[in-house]
Amino acid sequence: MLMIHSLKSRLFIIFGSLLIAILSIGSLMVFHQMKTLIIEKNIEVVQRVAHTGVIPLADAMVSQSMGKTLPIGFIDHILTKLRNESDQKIYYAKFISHDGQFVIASSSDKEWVLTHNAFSFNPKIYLHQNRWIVEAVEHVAISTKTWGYLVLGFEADSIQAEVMQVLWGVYMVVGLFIFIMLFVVGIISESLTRRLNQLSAAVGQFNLYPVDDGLPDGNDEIGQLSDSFKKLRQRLIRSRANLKESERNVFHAEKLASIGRLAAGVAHEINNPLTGIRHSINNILKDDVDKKERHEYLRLIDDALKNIESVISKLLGFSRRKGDELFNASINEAILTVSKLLEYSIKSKNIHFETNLYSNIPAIHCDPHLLDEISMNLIMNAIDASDDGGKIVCTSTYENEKIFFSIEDWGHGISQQDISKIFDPFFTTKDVGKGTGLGLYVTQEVVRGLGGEINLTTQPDSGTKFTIQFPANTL
Amino acid sequence: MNRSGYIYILFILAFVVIIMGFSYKGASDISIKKTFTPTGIVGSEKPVKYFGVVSRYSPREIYQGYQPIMDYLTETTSFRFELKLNDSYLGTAKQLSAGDISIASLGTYIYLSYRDEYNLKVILKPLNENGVGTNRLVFIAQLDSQIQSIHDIKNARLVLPSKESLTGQWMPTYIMQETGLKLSDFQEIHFASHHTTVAELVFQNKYDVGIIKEPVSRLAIKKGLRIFHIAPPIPTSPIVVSNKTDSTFVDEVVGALLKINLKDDSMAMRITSWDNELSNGFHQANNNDYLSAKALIDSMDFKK
Repeated sequence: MLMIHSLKSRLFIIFGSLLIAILSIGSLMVFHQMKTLIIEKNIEVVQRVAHTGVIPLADAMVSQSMGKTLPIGFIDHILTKLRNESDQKIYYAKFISHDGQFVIASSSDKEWVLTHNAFSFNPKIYLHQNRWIVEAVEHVAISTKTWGYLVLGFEADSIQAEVMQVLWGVYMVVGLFIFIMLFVVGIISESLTRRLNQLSAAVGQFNLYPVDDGLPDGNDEIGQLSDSFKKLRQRLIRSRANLKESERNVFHAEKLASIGRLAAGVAHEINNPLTGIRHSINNILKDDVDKKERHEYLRLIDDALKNIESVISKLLGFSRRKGDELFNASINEAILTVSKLLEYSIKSKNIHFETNLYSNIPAIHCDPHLLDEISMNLIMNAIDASDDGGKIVCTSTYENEKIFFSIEDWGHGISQQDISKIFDPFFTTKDVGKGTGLGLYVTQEVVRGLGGEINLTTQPDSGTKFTIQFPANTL
Repeated sequence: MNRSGYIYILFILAFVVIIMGFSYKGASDISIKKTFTPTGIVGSEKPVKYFGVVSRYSPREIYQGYQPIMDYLTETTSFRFELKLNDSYLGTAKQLSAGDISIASLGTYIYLSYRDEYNLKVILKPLNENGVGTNRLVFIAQLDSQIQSIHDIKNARLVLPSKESLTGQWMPTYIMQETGLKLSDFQEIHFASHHTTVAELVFQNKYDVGIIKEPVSRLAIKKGLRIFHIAPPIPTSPIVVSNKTDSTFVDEVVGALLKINLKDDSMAMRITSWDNELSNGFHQANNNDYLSAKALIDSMDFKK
């Protein structure tokens, strides 16, 4: 099927049409040349017949000048003789004397004499009453002595038919030639574009580690393009590895930064149980502690140690480097895990933390720590943006096969001029040492990596809402 | 394909249709008209003078050889010259005498025989290629003929020019004198109308031996005939006027023909198309130049 957008079609159309145009002009010129040749050949033939007729006429003129009288019907006799000797059909014959006063006319058909001015003659081909006539004129002369002119009118419909026959012949030959040439152009276009299409298909099905790359070989430009494409793929493989490593480092750095920021809250969460443990140990060491009280203190110590263990476990879990393993992770779990880690920070600012989580939200097939990372960054930003007594609402929904997850705060918002920059790496509005400027950049990269989108709505001094959506079918 | 692509294709198709239309129209209409200019009459404003010539050869050949001379004379004199052919020398002499023609190229024999009767006056004699006013007579035969000399012609079929020519009259006597043969020793003796006719008849093998003027023999050799004997020269055919002819006219004609300079390349080229007997120039002549020929005729005891 001819796809008119394709390079092959364009090559075919352009070269084909140029070919048609050139052949058309060429055929016109050839036809014109052949037509001229046919006409000239026929005029030459009739002129030769006329020349034959002139010889007896000239001799008759000489005889007349010697005092002899021309026999009656002399022209008719010559015409009859010419008709008998010539293959050409002669319509009329006229002899016009040199001074134009002596005219003898003869015709096979009276109308020729009646309808024509005897003194208007030229070698010509003309149409008369739907019949083509070729008129030959010959001097009736010997040397420079001219007695007059013999004008013969020959039938020329056969000339016109011959020209028309040549035209159809030219049409057929040129048509056949165009057909063959178009076929050749088609084959050439096909051979030129087949390997390009092969290359296009290989590029379209780009795979860094193909089993069969399907790239065309060869020493021509297309072959060179294939080689370049292979080299590009090698560079991409290396770049991708480097990028992945850099990404990991960035993510880890950001995570470590987050851990640093968590440190205060975590320290407090560890410090409280430790204080309880110390207090319980001190009481146990007292002599007046009975067995029941000691048991109670030991239970308190155990609870405190469990709390510490829990906190450390969460911290260790969060700080662990991201792996490549994929699980069915839940955004709800990520929100809840992170909110527990940030509990101290939330409470220290008396922030009302609210979650509206859709219970049947589908799992996301990814590394669970990526969702933790996203939640951590957005909730921490919300906490930082909120004033004392503020409010943060975490929401998850599932609509139209899309998972929506939003973090909304009623803090100081983002200024209009900063909106376009907040996803840039190392951009931060926080005080020095409080932010790395990588949080939102990492969040955006993670979301995009999972095939999602991140959007925000913000109003200075009114708050900010980050909304993330993941297409369920791509997960 | 975008819009311009479709326009491109439409343009090409329209182009092809136009080309086909042009071709079809070209095939349907074959009318042409060539320019044709009727030949004008040179010197039509000048008074016409007729130049009499005996059709020693075929009339067509006479016109081919003499019409260029008429053109030259028309160009160089105050008159327009037209040829007037006659079947016989005598007829031409009579036309000259009657004033029907003003000048003529006449045979030597007729001139000498009738100059007194018709008041004829010789004014010019044509020259041969050696610049002399005589022509040799040559005997011709076919290439494969057994005849090698004049002494081999016994029992031959002999063809001679007209009896009105000096050749036709003198040659039988010359042959008898040279060979000792009698007229009865020949299988046949025939007098043809023209020198060229003599050559043609020998070529056609209708006669074994022919006698013609040397200028005509060039044509015979071209045809593949052979010269086997050359007779003594006789005076060239004179250019003759009537004694009554206007002297101004005579002077103009004589002046025009005498000024022909064969060293002038263009003139030499032009004159090549003239009749062989007149293409080597002229000398002024009078009756005395033909006394020897007159003596020859008298010695042969010719009878009119």
